Amino acid sequence: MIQTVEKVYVEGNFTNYKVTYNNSDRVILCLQDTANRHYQEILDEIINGNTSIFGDSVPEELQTDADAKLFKQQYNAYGTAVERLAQYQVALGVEEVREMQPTGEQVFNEETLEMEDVMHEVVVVQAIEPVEATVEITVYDESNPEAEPTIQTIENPLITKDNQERAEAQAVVNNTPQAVIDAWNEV
Amino acid sequence: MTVNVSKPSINLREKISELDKPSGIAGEHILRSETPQEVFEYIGARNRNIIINGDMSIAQRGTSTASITGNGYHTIDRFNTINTTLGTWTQSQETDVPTGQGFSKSLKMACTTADASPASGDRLDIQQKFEGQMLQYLKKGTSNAESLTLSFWVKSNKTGTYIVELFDNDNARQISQAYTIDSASTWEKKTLTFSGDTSGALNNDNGSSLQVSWFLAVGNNYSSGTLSTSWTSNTNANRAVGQVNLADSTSNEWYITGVQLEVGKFATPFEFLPYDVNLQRCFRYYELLAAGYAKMLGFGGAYNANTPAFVSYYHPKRTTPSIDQTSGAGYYRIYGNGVEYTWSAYSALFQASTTQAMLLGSGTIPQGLIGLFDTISGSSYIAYDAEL
Repeated sequence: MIQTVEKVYVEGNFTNYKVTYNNSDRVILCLQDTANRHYQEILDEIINGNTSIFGDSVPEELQTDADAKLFKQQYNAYGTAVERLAQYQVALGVEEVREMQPTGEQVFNEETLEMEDVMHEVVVVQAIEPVEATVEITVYDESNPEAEPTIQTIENPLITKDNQERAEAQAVVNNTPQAVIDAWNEV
Repeated sequence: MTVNVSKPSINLREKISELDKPSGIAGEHILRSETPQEVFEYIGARNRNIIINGDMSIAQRGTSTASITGNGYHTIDRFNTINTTLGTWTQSQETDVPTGQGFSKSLKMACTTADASPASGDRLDIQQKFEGQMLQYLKKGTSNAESLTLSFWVKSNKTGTYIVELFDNDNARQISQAYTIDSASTWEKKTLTFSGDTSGALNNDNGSSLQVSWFLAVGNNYSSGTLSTSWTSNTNANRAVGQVNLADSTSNEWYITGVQLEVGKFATPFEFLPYDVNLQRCFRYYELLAAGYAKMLGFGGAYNANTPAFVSYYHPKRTTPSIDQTSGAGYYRIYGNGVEYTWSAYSALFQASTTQAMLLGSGTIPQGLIGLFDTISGSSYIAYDAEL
């Protein structure tokens, strides 16, 4: 855990940050370089709101980089969440979708006097059956091994897990800043 | 009783002609090889191991670090420790190794303060991270993605299930495999094969794209789901399901050596590299400049009027490194014109270079002075750190 960060040397475009950690007898000096892991740790502290490590205020250049890093994280998380929500719900399954498509053959229509495609019905979305809403589990009384086990009906764990993941994804979407959503939608 | 046995006829002429199939000299050698090592010699299979310092021979930072309660690189080069409030540990480079395998060093984790009930977000693991540009040949994210096989020797008094994970940092995808330590305090070789991932290409750059982690203990956040044994988008709960808690006693210890991660579905014999080659590979990520009393750093003088400075060259690094140093009154000095001036620490002008820096002492020296820069304390320590 970073304890303090301070500028220790500035010349031209080059700035050194001195990073001290609790639980460390060494001093780390790092440059403003996105590939440097110590610099990334500084940005993480800013993103996590631990700005007290800077004393007075967060240096502007660090805040800019931290904002950019946070934006990228939110962008990636939003994309993952949107993709997760787009998956079907295991409790509902997927209904089969059919549509008429040309076979590649054509026949002459004597009424219109034109060649027309021969159509056939094609399954474009395969049906997926919903999973059972509930399952039965055998429960043993650990405090009384000789007791008869009981049968309990619970929500299907697949549905529970699906609902939980969807709720988490929805929470990510709900908490994503509009600027990130706009950037995602632009692509 | 008479038993009649009928066998298909054999065309001897045909069989003999099969022996006459053309094969080159190298092919003949391979056919006559008696060990896998001989085959590898003949086909020149080199640089198979993605892991750097898998034999644990290089430990530039030191051979033992006590009181580890946080993340960081401590002893063995390239092996990072992730400890999120899960006990206190001593990590060391040991000579306890599997007998007759050619290894001379191992990495040891010893618990010094136990945590029998980890909090939900706690984790303890040893990991190595890899640059994406080093792994493009894995063809990750394509239909031709390569399988990977991890082999290693491990020993612990704590038997049971342990989890190893590959984590794709670029795409937040992961895959885990379980292995079992069957016999207490006995070296065992483990081999785990991970399928190729047809999703999520690795960035072709010097960033941390992939990491392999050996979990030693985890909280509920990492173990409450179903172990994800095929590549999938990361869900923390599925990463280390079934992992034993190595932190539940101060008697617990865990050793590892002979780590090899390679393309393919089979483990080949560990690829030993010469010590100097191993060290050279580690230098890309960390390079010790000086540690201890009277170690030479360079030659320089007064920069920008009164600042002691010298130009320091080092092996090419992954990126602009950090300076990892100890700090204390009189740790560093310049000796010139029969006089010495001392200071406590350095700052640096890297000029965004991966091969050189100008180190600036935190003291003041007379204008025009030139001289030798060295360390003058047993606690002096200065290194370049470009780890992932």
